[in-house]
Amino acid sequence: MTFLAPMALIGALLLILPIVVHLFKPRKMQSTPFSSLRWLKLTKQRLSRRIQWHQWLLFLMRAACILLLVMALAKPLVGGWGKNKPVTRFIVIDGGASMLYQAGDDLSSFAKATQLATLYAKNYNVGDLTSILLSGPTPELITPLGPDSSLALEKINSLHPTSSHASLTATLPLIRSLIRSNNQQSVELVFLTDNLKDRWEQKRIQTFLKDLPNPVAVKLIETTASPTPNKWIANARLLQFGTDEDRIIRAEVSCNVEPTGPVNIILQGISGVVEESQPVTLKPGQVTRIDFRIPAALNLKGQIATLNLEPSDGLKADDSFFLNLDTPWAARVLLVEPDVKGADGRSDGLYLRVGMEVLRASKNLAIEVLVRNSGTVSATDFQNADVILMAGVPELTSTSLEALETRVRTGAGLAVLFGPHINEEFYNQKLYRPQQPAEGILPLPLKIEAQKFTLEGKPGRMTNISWNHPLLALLKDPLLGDLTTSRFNRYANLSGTIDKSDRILARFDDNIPAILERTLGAGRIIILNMSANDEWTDLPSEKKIFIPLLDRLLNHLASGALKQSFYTGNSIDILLPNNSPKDDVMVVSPTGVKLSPRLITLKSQTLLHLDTTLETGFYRVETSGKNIFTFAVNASRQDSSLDPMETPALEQWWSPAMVEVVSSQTAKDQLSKQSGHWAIWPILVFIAGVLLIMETIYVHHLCPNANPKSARPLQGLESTTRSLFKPAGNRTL
Amino acid sequence: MNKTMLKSLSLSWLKKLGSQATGIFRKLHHAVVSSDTHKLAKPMEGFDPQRYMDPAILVRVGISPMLAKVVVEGFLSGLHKSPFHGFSVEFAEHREYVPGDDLKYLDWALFARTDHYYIKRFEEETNLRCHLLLDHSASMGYGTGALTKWDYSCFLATCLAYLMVRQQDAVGLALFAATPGVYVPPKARRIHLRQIMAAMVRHAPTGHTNVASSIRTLARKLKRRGMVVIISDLIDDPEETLKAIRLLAGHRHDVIVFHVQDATELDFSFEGAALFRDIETNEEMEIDPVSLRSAYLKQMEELCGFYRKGLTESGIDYHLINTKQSYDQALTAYLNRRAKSGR
Repeated sequence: MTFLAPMALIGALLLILPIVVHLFKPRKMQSTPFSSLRWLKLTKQRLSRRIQWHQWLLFLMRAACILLLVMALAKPLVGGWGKNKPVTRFIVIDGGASMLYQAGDDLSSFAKATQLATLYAKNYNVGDLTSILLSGPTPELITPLGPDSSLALEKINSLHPTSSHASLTATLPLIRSLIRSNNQQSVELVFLTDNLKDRWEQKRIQTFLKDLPNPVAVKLIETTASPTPNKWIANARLLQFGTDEDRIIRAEVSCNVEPTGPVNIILQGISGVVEESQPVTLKPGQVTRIDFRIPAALNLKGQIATLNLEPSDGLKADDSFFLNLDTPWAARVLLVEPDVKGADGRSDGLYLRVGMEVLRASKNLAIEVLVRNSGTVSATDFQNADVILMAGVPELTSTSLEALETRVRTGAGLAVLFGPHINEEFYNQKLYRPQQPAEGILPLPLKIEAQKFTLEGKPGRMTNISWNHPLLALLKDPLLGDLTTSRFNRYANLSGTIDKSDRILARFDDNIPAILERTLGAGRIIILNMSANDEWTDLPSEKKIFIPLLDRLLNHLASGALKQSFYTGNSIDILLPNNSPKDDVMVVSPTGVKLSPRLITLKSQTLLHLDTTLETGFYRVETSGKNIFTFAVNASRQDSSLDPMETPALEQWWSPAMVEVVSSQTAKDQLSKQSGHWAIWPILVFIAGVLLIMETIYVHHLCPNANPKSARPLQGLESTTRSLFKPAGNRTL
Repeated sequence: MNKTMLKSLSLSWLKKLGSQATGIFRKLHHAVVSSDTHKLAKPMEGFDPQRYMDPAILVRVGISPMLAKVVVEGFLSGLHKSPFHGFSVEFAEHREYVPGDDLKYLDWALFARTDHYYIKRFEEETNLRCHLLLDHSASMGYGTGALTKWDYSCFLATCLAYLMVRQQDAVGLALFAATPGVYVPPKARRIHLRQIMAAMVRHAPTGHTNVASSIRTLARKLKRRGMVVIISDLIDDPEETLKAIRLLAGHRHDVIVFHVQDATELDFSFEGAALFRDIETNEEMEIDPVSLRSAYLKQMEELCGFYRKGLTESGIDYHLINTKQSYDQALTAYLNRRAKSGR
C-alpha cells in the first residue's frame, strides 16, 4: 500500500489530543461536601467497569473514525501485487509542430500522445513515481514527480504543441534534477513522439547518463508510422526589381516523399488579382520554385496574399504561407569590410559582393547594396540599412558601434563574419558584453588562436546542422550543394554558455559553434564562425553552396521586422511607425483575439513586442481602434521534412540504457491490460461514515456515560448487588 | 401603529431577548463554573437545651408554634387515645434501697417487718421504657435544606421524648457514632426532658459511623424490654446494620427505625461534575452526578428497599424520612400508619 498524499498522515496526531486533554485537563471542580461517599463509591464501582468499557469503545470508534478519515485524506492505493519493482517514470510528450500531423481520419500525433499520457497517468502501479513533461523551447513540467499523476488529466488534455523547436533531449537536464539522489529505483523514460531526427542530441543524452546511479530504460512510443509523407511551402517572397516591372511572388515548395497525385499551389487574397493556381512538380529533398506575376500597376498598399498547397496533407499548417505585400520592395544591404586588404590584394567582402550581385542579377533577391570600409562607415549608413554584413571588420568606432546596435535593436538584420583582421579585444569587450552577455551582439566571447582548429590534422567540417532552420533549410539539396562538404581550416574558438534565447544552428567537428543565431530587440543576428573570404574556409569559393547560403541569409535577416513576417513560437518585435500614436496599442490575431503587446522605447523609437504567437495568419496592429499595419505569422517549417531518427543510432546514443521502440497502438494495448492500482479512500470514507453514525447512535441511546438511563446493571453486576444486599429472609437472630 | 408604539414594542422585545440571553448565559456559566446548586444547611448554634422546643426556633425552621402544638398533640392522640390508657400500677418486685431513691416508693410495711429498707417497683416501669438511639456521626451534620439531618433528628427525638413524658412513659437517650457515646437513662419525669435536650445540644455530630457495632453494644446494655427508636442515616454496612437492629428486636424490644435522609441523598439532584468530599473522612472523589444519578438512585432505592423489607419482616417499623419534609408531617404520617396497623 502506498499513499498519494502521505503528509496527510500527520493528521493522525489528532488522536493525541483527547489523551493529552485527559491527562492535563484543568481540574477546576468545586469541592462539594456530602454525607458519605459509601453509596457513591458502590454506585461508581458498579458503573465504572461498564462505563470504562463504554468509554474505551467510544474512544476506539472515534479514533478509528479519525484514523480512517486521515488515511482517506492520505489517499492510499493498493494493488500491483506480483508486478515488477516500482519505477520512477518520466513521460515526455513531444511538443513539436510536427506532432500536429494527422493522417486522414486518424487522430493527430499529439492527440495520440496525450491519450497515452492519460493512460499512463491512470494506470500506474503502486509505488511508481511518475512525472509528465512537455518538450518545447523551454521544457514544461506538467506534473511533478509523485505517486499520482491522475490529478493532471485535465491539464494533459489542454496541452497543445508549441509549434517551435522542441528537442526531447532538452528535457533531460530537468529530468536529471528530478531524480532523487536517495532513490535507487530504476528510471523509465517514456517518449511520446513522432521521433524526428532533430529531436535528439547525443551530447545531452551522454550528459544525462553520466554518473547516473539509477538503471535507465527508454521506451520510445512512435505516434506516427514512418515514412510520413509531407509537402510544404518552404518560403515565399515578393520580388521587385524596378518600378515599371511586374512584381513576382516566388514560392519555394518541397516534399519528403514524392506525392502520388498532382499538386497545385494557389495564390489568393490579393485584391485586383484573380485567384491563380499552378501545378507543382515535387521531388523529395528538392526545392521547386513557383512564380506568380503581379502587375506593376497594382497598388500593394495594405495588400496581403495567401499561398496554399492543394491537396493538403497530414501536416496542414505548413501547406499555407501568408505573405505581407505592403513591405519595402527592396532590402538595403550595408556591407562593411576591413580597411586593409587580404594577402591576395582582395578585400574580405569580395565574395559577398559578388554573391549579392549574382543574386540581384538573377532576379532572385531584391536588394540595394552599399559597401563601406570599417574606417569610413558612418552612423547614418547603419541607420539606413535593413541588413548589415560585417565581413571580418577589425573594429568600429564607438559612434558606429552605437548606431549599429540601435539599428539592430530596431529591426535590422546583422551577419557577423570573422577573419584574420578582426581585433579580438574589440570583439570580446564591445561586441560581446562580459557583464551583460544577453545584451551584446556576440553571444559568446571568441579566441583566435595561432594554430589551426582542425580535427586530427584534417580540415574541420560542419556537423549538427539544423537543416530545418529557415537559414539552412533545403541547403542539403544535392543540386544546390551541401554545407557539410565545405572545409574549414581555421575558425574562432567560441566557448561558454549561450543565452536561452540563442540558438546554435551548426557546429564544427570539435563541437565549437559554427553558426549561431541571436535576437536582439527586433533584429536578428547571425554569427558565422568563418572568414568572409577563402582564407579560413573554402565555402565562399563554393558558389553552389555559398550563393544559396547568402540568399537565405539575406532573406532570413530581412524577413523579420522588415518584411513583417514571422514564424509561430518566436517572439515578435516590430518597430512602430514614428508618426503613429503609442497609446492603446492592440494586436488583433487572425481569429480576432486581442493581444496586449509590450512597448519598448529605444531612444526616439518604440518597439512592439509579443512574447510568442501560436496562431498562423495575419495579425493587425491597431491604435485606438485604427489599423496601422499588418504582419504575417506562418507555421514553423522546422519540422516539415519529418526526417525520422534511425533506431540503431538512438540505441547507440542511449547505450548502456535499453531502448524499446513501440507503436502507439501497441503501447495502448499494453496499458489497457495493466490494472495497476485501486484507490481505497472512498471505502475508508464510507466506513468512517458508518462508524460516525454508529457512534452517534451509541452516544445518544446506548452509552451509560452520556445517557444514564441506559445504565442498567449487567448480569454479572446484578449478582454483585445481591451479594451486597442479601435477602432479608436469612435472619441470623 | 405609530412609531412610538413600534419603538416601545421593539424595546420590550429587545429587553426580553436580553433577559433571555442573560438567562442562557447564566445557565451556561452555572453549568461550567458552578457544579453544586445546593447550599449546605447551617447547623444550629448555642447550648440552649430548649432550642429544640423553642417556638421561635420552630418558626425559624418553618413550623408555627400552633402547628408545633398540634404536632405534639397529634402525636399524643395518634399514639394513645388517653394518656393513662393501659397504665398499670401493679406491684412487680422489691429491691434494696439505695441512697437517692425516691422515698415515696419505700415499703414501710416491709421495713417494719424486716427492719430493712426496700423500694417497691411496679409493672408500668418495665412496659414503657423508651430509648432514643440517636446517630451523631459526622454524616448526620449534612443537610441542604433548612436543617441538617442532626438538627432534624434532634427535633424528632425531642418530640418523641416529650410525647413519652406526657404519657408518663420513661424516655432515655443514647447517642452513638463509631461507638455508643452519651447515655441518658430513661425516666418519665418532665424535668428529664431537659437532660435529654441538653445532651443533644452539647454533642455536635462528629466521628465515623458504625451503626451496627454501636447498636450491638447498646443492645447488650438494654436488658429490659421497651421501645427502641433508632434515628440514623444508617450509613454503614447494610447487612451488619440489619443484623444489629434485628438483635434488638430479638431482645423483644419494640424497635422503630427512622431512616433520616437529606433530599439530595435521595434525589441526588446535583448538576455538573464536582469533587465530592466525605464529611466524615474528608475523602474526595470526582463525580459527574448527571452520569451517576440514575445508578445512584437505583442504588438508594435498593438500599431503602433492603432495609424496609429486612426490617418489616422482623416486625420492625421502618420509616424513611426526607428532611425536605417537615418533621411534624413525617411524624404524623408515621403515627397514622402505626395506628392503622394497630400497634
